[in-house]
Amino acid sequence: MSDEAAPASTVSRRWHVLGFVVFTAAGFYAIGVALQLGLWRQNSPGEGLFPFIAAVAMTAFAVAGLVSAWRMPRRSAAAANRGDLAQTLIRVAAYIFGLVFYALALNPLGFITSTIVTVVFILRFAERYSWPVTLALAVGTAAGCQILFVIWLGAILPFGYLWESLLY
Amino acid sequence: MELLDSIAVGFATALTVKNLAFCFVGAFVGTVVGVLPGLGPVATISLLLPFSFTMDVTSAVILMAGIFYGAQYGGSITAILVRIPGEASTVVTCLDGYAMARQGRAGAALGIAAFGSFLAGIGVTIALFLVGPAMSEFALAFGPAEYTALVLLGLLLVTQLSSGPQGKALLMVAFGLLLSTVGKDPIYGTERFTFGVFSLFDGLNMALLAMGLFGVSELLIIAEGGAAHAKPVAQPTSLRELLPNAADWRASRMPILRGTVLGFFLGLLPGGGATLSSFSSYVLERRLAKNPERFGQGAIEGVAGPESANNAAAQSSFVPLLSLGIPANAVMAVILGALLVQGIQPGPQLIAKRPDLFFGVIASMLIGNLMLIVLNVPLISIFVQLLRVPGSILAPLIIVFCVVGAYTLSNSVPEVIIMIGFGIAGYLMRKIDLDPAPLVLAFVLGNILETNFRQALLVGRGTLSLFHTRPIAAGLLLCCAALIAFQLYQAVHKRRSAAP
Repeated sequence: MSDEAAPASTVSRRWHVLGFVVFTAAGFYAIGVALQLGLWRQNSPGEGLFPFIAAVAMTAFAVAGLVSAWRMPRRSAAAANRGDLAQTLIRVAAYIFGLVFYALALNPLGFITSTIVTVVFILRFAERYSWPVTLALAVGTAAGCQILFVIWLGAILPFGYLWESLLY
Repeated sequence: MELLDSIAVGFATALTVKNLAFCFVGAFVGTVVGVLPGLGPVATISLLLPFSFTMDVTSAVILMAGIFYGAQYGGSITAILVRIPGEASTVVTCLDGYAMARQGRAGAALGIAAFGSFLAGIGVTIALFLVGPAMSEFALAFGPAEYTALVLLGLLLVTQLSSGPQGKALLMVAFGLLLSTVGKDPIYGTERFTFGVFSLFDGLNMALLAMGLFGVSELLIIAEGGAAHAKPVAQPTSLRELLPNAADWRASRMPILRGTVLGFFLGLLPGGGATLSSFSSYVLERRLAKNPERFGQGAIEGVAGPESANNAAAQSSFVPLLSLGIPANAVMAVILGALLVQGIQPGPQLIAKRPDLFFGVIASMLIGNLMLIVLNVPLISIFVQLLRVPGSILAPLIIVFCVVGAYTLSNSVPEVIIMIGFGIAGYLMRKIDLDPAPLVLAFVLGNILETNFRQALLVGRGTLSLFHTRPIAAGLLLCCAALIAFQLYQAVHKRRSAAP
């Protein structure tokens, strides 16, 4: 939790407010869906009753959080280094892109190729490792995971339909 | 005399070469599947199910039991080292275990988790021989109203977990409950919050939620820190320095004892199990601590208690299964299936008809726990080497483990996308001081709460009468009210003392 607290101090009041606005909006949406589902049917609780209770509680606590976030002191402009923030956002975005690419490439490219491409992208372009280190780690990770997941644990991972169409 | 006969029958069964081998394989495989996120004991035991039909039934249950309690320990390894809980029951171990690892005390955390699990396992095995069959009858007194009240009490206690403001923890609990309603309604089968996505029809997967909120969000925190955050954490090298020291043992002995007792009783309750007991133990230790603010920042009691509790609960959950035929959790349900296919009907008659099965499985747990400690303690020095690896190199490994873990759950990409979505949400929540731990427990307990609450209303013909006419339920609700009153008193007292 100490680790969690550290990065939290880097975000401004506006992010806290935005976060609670999202929760409040989601809560109101869930209340609407729960009411449509029905709270009560034939003398027994309907399928919307429990989501309704949970959504009302969530909305109430989100609104309380919003009020409390609104009262937070504004941080001075000097405290926020825009250059560092941009750098951080680029790195986080690169990792998210790597994750999404890996997920979407699994079926067409197969487990081994998509693992190598993803690890190369992260190590070479996000972390700036040299090409020899990057390639060695990428191939090592793919081979190690193939042995662990496929050979040892018998997990069924995709071969890649692009390779299948090329080879067969 | 009867007790000695039971112990003799149990050990005569468990100490055969064949059963010792199955026990070892179970404990080892369990540790491995516990380490790997996604591939949990339920999936592994399910995969083994067809093979169990050709095995001797006692050997099959010994193997499955080994996988189950092995996974409880295995799950704590990644929770401590990289903040990825391999199992839902080890989510709480992330809080202080990971903080200890960041302070260069990963070995002590892993050591106390191993020894705590071992001691809890030994204690529970002895207790199972002594009072197991009698205790299982107590669980029969629990109906829908009692479960509803128990889960409500659990959720209120969960809000104590968060080091942040109580309101934020309550928001996370409510959000977790709402997420638990995604999928088909448990009574009418109506779709709720599925948005037409096929993967959501059966509800959100607990493993996806935990991997996203803890694993992927941690990955993004590593990513934003860059080289500065990626510095490896210095760890001692010799096994002697790695293991818990005398002060650690002094701090941990009572949490281990309390965790064992708590885990034993909660494991007996259907729906209780390892997850609820580990969270409850954490809350209890935090409540009893002289300096509760240390919790979440590397308090060894926060590892010792929950790890003992989850192992104790994993073992005691065999009692309602074998003596009543009631599975306490999904793993027990799969084992029940294996027993039924082999023509074994678990119930009160099982102890009389198949003492070798009942006491053999209990005795094997004692041996399996011994195997686990022999297997794992020498490996601690290898496990902590992981922390010498820079975060920037560890990050791609976390990506591969999380994505493959999510993919193997049902061999589908949408599951992976859902996990990534939870990861981004978890990252953003952590940026605004929202702790995902209460969300995860509320999600786990949400289904139990909803089903029992609605059943209680149905039985009460649409009224809340069951909650005040049944003594256990009323007692538990009184505990809830007392807890809320106590928290309000604390809040008012804090505000008054803060005022100039």
